[in-house]
Amino acid sequence: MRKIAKLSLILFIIIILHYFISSLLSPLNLLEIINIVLMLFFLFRGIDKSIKIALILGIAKDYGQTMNLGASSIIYLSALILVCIMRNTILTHQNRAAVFLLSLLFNSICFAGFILSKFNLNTMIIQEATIALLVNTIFTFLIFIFIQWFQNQFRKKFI
Amino acid sequence: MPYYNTINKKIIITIIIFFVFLALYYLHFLMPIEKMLALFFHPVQTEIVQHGANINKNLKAISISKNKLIKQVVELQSEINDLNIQLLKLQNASEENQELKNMLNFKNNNNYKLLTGEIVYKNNLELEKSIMINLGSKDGVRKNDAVIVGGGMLIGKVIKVSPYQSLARLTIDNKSNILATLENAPYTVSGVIQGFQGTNLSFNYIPKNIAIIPKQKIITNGLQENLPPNLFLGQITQLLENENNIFNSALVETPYNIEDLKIVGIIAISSPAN
Repeated sequence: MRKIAKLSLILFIIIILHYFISSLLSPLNLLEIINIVLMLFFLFRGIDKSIKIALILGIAKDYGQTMNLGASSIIYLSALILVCIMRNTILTHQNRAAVFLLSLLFNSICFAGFILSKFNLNTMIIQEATIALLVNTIFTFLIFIFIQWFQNQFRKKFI
Repeated sequence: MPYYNTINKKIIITIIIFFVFLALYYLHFLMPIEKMLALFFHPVQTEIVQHGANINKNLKAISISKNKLIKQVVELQSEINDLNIQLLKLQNASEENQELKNMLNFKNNNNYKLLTGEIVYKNNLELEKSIMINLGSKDGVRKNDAVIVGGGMLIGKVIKVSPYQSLARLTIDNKSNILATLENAPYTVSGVIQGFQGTNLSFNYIPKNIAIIPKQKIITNGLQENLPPNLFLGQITQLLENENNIFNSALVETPYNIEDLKIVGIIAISSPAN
């Protein structure tokens, strides 16, 4: 029960942050908080937990954004599965370069999926998607490094 | 191996639950949950959108007056910022008031059923320019209803409706097509207003023999389903002539800014009048 309450609170905060960032000026609204959270969940907690979060966040995002329930969840699900396959085959070591590449792959699949789901493509959209891809990948990478550093410091101090 | 089997089982169960949930949603079995979520989330989302709009205004104000601020005396800076914030708050309240007054005037001058709603989500990406409004089919909103601000300024059309919220595509979206004409023109022009580069509009299919003057106003021509005539769309800024094309087109200045939108009106023509 406590776990469900904790998870619900985390998801609520993520969704609220997503709504807030989306209402900001461009290019600030290119930051996809859901993508970053999902990638971090995948790197720290594994595929099963990140899939659960991806399906719930995808539904919440779709309900508030497009009302096509399920579309974002499927995109996140396929991106996570592909990233998982990649980690278990080519990028088996979780070093910084692998994390960066996995994050880049995850974001690429997500943005490509969103563009394909809209049947809408022009140079402006590609330009925007490229900026969003870079921004989100770099943010994911930096947050990952920060969390890792924080965990190391915590271990050194208390364990 | 048993560990991976447990994980696989967990994933499969999660995916099955997800598809069952989707089926229940699309079969409208989750209406009570949807209502509860709407009651809880819409006020929160409205607040978020309003805070976002205020932050956008502050950001714009900072970027515009940056050079001026550098020149000003350091001691006065904090005081000026405080005053600016207070002024923006007052301006917001006054703008909101004016917006509602304009909508009320528009409603009184026309015999339309006007529903006033708040924006709960803004999609301000090149991929899609849309807004989510906290009014749905239960409030009388139907697909293709016109979405306006102020005294009859068309900003978009409703494209999707659920019982408790509706999605409107803005005129600046590159998939948007609105039949339009020139205001007070001696000749009839039936063109199409389309989104252009995500921030502007382009007025297309203008016959070559018709002279277009900058600052001419573009309005709806009333030939499109559920879009009443004479709704303001924008002002012409530049004529784009091309010898290879049969028609001319013109650049149109958008009279609204998606970042500043908070309250909108929906003209519910298709719904039965109260």
